Amino acid sequence: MEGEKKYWQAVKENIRGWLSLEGARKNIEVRFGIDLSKLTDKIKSDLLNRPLPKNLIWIHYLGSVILLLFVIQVITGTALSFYYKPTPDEAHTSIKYIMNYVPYGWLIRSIHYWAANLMILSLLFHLARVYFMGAYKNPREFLWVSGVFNLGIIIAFGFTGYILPWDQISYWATTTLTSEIGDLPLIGKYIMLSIRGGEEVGSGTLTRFFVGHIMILPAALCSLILVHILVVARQGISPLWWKQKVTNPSHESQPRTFFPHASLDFAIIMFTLFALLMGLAVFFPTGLPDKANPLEIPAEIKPEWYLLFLYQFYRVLPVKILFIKRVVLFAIPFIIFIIVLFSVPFSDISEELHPLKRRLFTGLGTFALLFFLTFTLWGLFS
Amino acid sequence: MGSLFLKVSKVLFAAGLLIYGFTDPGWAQRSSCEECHGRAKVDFRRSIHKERGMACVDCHGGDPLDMTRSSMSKDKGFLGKINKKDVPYLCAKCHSDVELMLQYGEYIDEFAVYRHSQHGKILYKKGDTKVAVCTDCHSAHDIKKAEDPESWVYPFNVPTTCARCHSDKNLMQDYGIPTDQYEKYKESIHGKLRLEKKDLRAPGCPDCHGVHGATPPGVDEVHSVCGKCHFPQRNYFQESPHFEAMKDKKINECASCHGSHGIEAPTYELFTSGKKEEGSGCGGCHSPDSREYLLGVRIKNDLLEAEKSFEKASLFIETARLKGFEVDEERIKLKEAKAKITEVLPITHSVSIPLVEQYITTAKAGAEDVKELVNAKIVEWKDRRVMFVINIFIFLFVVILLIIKRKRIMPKSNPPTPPMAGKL
Repeated sequence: MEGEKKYWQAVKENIRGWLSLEGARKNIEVRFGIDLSKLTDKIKSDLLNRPLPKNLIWIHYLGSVILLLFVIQVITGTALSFYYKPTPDEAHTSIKYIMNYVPYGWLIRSIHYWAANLMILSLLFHLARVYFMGAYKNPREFLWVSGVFNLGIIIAFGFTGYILPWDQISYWATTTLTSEIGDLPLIGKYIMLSIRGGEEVGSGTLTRFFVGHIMILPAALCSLILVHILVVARQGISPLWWKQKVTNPSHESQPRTFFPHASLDFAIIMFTLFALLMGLAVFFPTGLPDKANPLEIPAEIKPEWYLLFLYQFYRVLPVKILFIKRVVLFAIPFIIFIIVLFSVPFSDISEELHPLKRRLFTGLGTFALLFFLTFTLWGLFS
Repeated sequence: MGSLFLKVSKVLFAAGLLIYGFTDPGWAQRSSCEECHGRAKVDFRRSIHKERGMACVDCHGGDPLDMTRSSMSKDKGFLGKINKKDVPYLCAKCHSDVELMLQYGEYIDEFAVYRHSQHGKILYKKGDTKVAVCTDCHSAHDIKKAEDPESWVYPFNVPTTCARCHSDKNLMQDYGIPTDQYEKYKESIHGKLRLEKKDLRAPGCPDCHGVHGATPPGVDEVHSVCGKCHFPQRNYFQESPHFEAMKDKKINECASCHGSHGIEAPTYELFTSGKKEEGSGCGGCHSPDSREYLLGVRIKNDLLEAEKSFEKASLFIETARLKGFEVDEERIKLKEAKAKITEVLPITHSVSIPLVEQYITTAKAGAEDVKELVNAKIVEWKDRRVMFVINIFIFLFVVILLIIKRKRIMPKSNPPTPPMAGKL
């Protein structure tokens, strides 16, 4: 009886030891070899108390906006995948079910939709910001290249997610786009077959797009974002041309730190973004067009806004010049544009940051921007 | 050795030619009739008769194996160009032969029916050979099956075939028949469906007038003709007071309201319109202050109100759909309500107001139900907005607090900084 009492007393003390902060610290240290006090000191010195660069302004937070939106996408996307069924027979019905019967399913889907659009928008702004502020220059070439890859992955996210509801518009847009790709000489058919997963847009396509959307692309984007952040942390942010002559990028003498200053800024952005997303999702909820019907072509097929400029450019090209097909006429400038985009930091090697003092690249960027805006608006209203 | 081989070859070639010549009648015809009648030969070779193994001799007589002019002598049974009046008899020789036609699954009553047609009556009773005989519709030599798109009597070609004579003013003036039927038909709902949309459900000329027995329907037979397809309308029309009244007054039944060859898709205007180019609305016979005319107005207004209800319900459905709501059930209910109007349109031919209004009321009630169902969803959406607007304000309030906090903790002034390199 006495022994039993002692036993229970010991068990109690053991549990109390685990639950107390000091006890837990000791237990972790013994079992995992991690000195928590050193770890917290490290976090404090390297992260929380990390001094902020003096030239940090609001526009530099665009990258963290994209990261935040990506986290929102992962959370809402995971929630949606609990109910979504990636087969042509069930996809549309399952989305309808999410929208009408799953508690707050309509909200989660709308937030997923709007966060995706805002993510692409933020990335385009981020890209334009980096370009016009010359933030890609030596030694930040890798950041630019990884950023362009990020853009490609995020557009691929949009493209693969677009067909998942299996509605008329997305089905026919995908069918049209892939069949045009199929017209490319030599490799066209193979690209088309590998995208479609068969001759026709069907269950094979849906499975591929779903797997790409929830597995391959997230894994790729996570890895790239991680590397991107680590490189940013190492290299710091780029100087600003208007503070180029007077500011000091050195961190030591700055009074602002990651916590609470940058964290507070980030919290302000985060809550503003939450309010914006909630407003968009509630006041402009995403609808659901009718289920895909392979026998009936809808009156109008248009891609999402971020691909509209490419679509409109494709439309205005002649069907054929001599023996050269339209898809080739489109592919040539497109490939040149991609090559130029990647080669920007390697060809703009001057140290000058002011946009007006590097006229060639500012001119090229302005042309690209005007091209994007003009063809997007043209596509929208045509 | 070589000359023996040559001799044997010559003999075998001659024998082959002879065997081929005597066993293939086609070759024999080519050697006589077709030698001179080239055009007819070309046409005949494309015909169904040629395909079935017939030859010139089967219709024109004569001796195709005789290569001289005597092949076309009376002794050889040569008939020459067939007299138009004799054409139907000649065709009937085979086409009324049960045993012969049975193998092709063809009718055998064409000639019997033709004799009673308007064409046949004029031909045999008046001896007028300007009327159509078999060859005018089917062609003489180039006869093809009706299923062949090149055939003159292919369903989509029939109207133009009839129009060849019936649009000819010179030909028709002797009979006092108008010549604008084809032009009117082309613009009519029937013509547009048949000729433009290739819809075989829409009638061509023979579907109303008969094929070989083509005859214009009498004024009191129109309902039977139209009723072949529009049978619910015919049944309700027969129950209406119009049926007997039109019979008595020799009014052209269906055609008096809807028109004949230029028939248009009926609209609700028909209940109130007056005389038109084709047919006339209620106002064509009933004066605007008559009870009958006012009944027409009442039906029209009821139908228009129902259509308005449908439009509103559709708009509600579309609004809800765009907001992501499931609206399948509402769409089905609206279709059911619209079906009531489809059902009531034939019933309007009965001019029975209680019956018509019963259907229209059900249709309108159906549309109202749909509106209520969808409205409940839209109200739910509005409630959601209110709920989430509160959430949005909470977020914005937090943002304001954070901004205040930020202002408090931000350093007032920056310490002096040493000049930086200036460039990267």
